[in-house]
Parts: sequence; C-alpha cells; structure tokens
Amino acid sequence: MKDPKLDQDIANLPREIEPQRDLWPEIEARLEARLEARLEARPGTPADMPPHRTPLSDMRCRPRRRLGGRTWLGGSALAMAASVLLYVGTQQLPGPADHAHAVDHATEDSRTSEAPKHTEHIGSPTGSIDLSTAGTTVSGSRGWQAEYETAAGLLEAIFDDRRLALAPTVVALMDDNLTLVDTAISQTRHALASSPQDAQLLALMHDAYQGKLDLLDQATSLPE
Amino acid sequence: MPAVLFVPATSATLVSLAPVADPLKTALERARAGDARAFAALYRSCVGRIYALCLRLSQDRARAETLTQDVFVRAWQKLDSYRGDAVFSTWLHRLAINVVLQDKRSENRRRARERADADAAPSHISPHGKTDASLDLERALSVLPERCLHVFVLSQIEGMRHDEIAEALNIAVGTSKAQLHRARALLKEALR
Repeated sequence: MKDPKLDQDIANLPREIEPQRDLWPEIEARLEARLEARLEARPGTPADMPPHRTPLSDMRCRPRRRLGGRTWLGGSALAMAASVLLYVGTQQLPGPADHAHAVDHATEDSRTSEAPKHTEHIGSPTGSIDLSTAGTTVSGSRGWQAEYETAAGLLEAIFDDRRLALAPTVVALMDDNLTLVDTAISQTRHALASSPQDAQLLALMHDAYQGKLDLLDQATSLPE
Repeated sequence: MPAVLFVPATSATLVSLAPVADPLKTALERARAGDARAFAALYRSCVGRIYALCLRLSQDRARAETLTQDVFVRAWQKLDSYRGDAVFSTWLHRLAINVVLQDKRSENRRRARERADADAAPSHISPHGKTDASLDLERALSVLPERCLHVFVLSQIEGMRHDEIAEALNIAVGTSKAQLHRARALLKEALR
C-alpha cells in the first residue's frame, strides 16, 4: 500500500525521545538492590563483607555468581512454595495429607484441635490437601488463597527473570498455559462469591492454584 | 631549479594521525569490566532511542519509563553475553524489544486474570516538541490494535524485516505482512 504522505510522516518521526525525568538513579538503585539480594541470599558470605557496602562495580566482576544466585533464589522460592503448601495443608486446612510432615502435623492437629470432627476430604489430583471445615468458605479460604498467591508470585518473578534465556516458543507456551490457569482461578473465584459454601468449587480453586504452582515450577526448572 | 625539500614526518604529525579511540567502545569495555559510571555513560548515549521504542510499543508513558529501566538492568546483567559481533546499540535494541514484548505477554496474562476488575486507563503518550505531522501520527498509533501496533513500530520505525518481526512476535511472516498492511490502512484512515 503506497502512501507517500504516510511514508513522509513516518520518516519525520523522531528516532529518539528523551524521558521526562532522569531514569538513571532508579536503575542504579535497582542494580544495587539486586546485588544486595544476591549477596544476602548467598550462603557463606563473609561477615566482614557487608553486602550493602559492596560497590556496584563488584557486581559485574563476578559474572558466575549471577547464575548461582539465581539458581539459589529458584531453590529458595520453591522451598518457600513447598512450605506454603505444607502450611496450607497442615495449619489452615488440618487433616490427613500425603506428605510425611503434613501427616505428622495433621495427626498433632487432630489431637489438639477442637474443630468439628466432620472432615470432608475433597480430593485434589495429588490428594495433598484436605479441606476441613476450617477452610471451606470463602472467608476461610482467603488465607490459603493468599499463601498460594504469594508462592505463585515468587515463582512468577523467577520465571520473568528467565524469560530472555528461554526459547520464545517455550515462553509463549508457558504464558498461554498460565493464562488458562489464571482464567480458571478467576472464574472459580467469581463462582465462589455467589456460592461460598460450595465444596466442589473450593476443591476446584485449590486444584487450579496447585496447577499454577506446578506449571511455574516447571517454568523455573527449564534448562536455559 | 629550486631544491626539493623532503620533510620527514615528525612525531607530532604521527600523533595527530593516530585514530581517536571510540568513546562508546571505551565505555563499553569499562562497563564490562564492572565500571558503573561507564555503564551510566552508555545509558546516557542510548536512552533516547530505547525510551522511544518502549513508549511507542507500550503507548504508556509511565510503563515506558519502567520498561526502559528494565532494559538497562537486563543489559547490565547480560553485558558478558555481548560478544561485540553486532553494534552495541543494535544489541541493546534487540534486548529492549524482547523486554517490551515479554512484558506485554505478562501484562496480557495479568489482564486475563483481572478481567473482572476495571482496567486503569493508561497515560497515553502526548509527545511534545514535534511537528504537527509527527504528532498526529504518534497519536494515531494509539488507536492501532496491539499486534498491528507492534508490527508497525518494528517494521516502519525500527526498520526490522518481516522474518525478524515474525520471530520476535512468534507469528508467521505472512501474518506480519498482513498486520502491517492493516496498520497502514488504519493509520491512513485515522490521519485523513
């Protein structure tokens, strides 16, 4: 489609536009913050090397550490996500669980809790979480939903950090799948708003969150 | 017959003929060695082009500022992977395109998740200090559908080939061509 006027307008567009404010101070602060997080996360950081005193330039002098730091962060987040699941399964939603620790906690809970004995097991595919009366309403489930969101947020941050290192097709596939899961979570949340006692909806919500964590777990474990 | 005088080159002449070191290259080498001030100099020399790209692709001034910061944070992290086989500004430019497009995918996921919530109206660009024609075109860009906008900006403003755009956007080459055709038609209509 030939259009000399449009072509002229395009040619007249400036190739450079200066931001209305200086962005460098924030960039520098972010680089410093990443360095601090990496050093704090790194086991065995000598006590006589306070991370917040380390000059920014050191960050670029140790390129290998970046990979190690990220890997450690991934492991940390995964561990945290696992902790969240354990917490969800044993503290807020007491009952039998597959995980050995969860079983221990659940047993302890069953001895000490004065919650009603009626425990409806709503099986997730993994059977890892048991929904007791403690979490079978919207208000009761808000706690574990928030914990799921926190864990998913951490893994998403790691995934976002690895996007450039992964193949675009893999990233696009992951994004598509995450969109599906997020849609499922959103729709279930809406359904729960009108049927807050619906045990099946709560189970679906749990499964959707669990699926999201599994997906993000995969995404953060993919080789670069 | 006058004598022909031979004037040998002096050391001063040789010095003046020596190539001047490329300041950008020097800054790049120092930044790769960990010099943050050198990286700041690189930022100063490239920020205009990177911000323009982020602004046009995102159509949101605040988002463009954040994306520009993201690009330079990523660049700092990835300086080791820059081998010097492309011009630094080109390498940075490709990095910026990836950062913006991947952010867009993340944003689309977030929007799908929060579909029920009202989306905040973006602070659309209102560039200043330009000619009326470029201002009109800049404004007209905001009416383009997202895919059209991306293809148009990458092709017509950034000069990428359709095969490069197709790879960056994960679409077919034919789709890229069709989107460009559609974008130009929409812009022509908007500017009429």
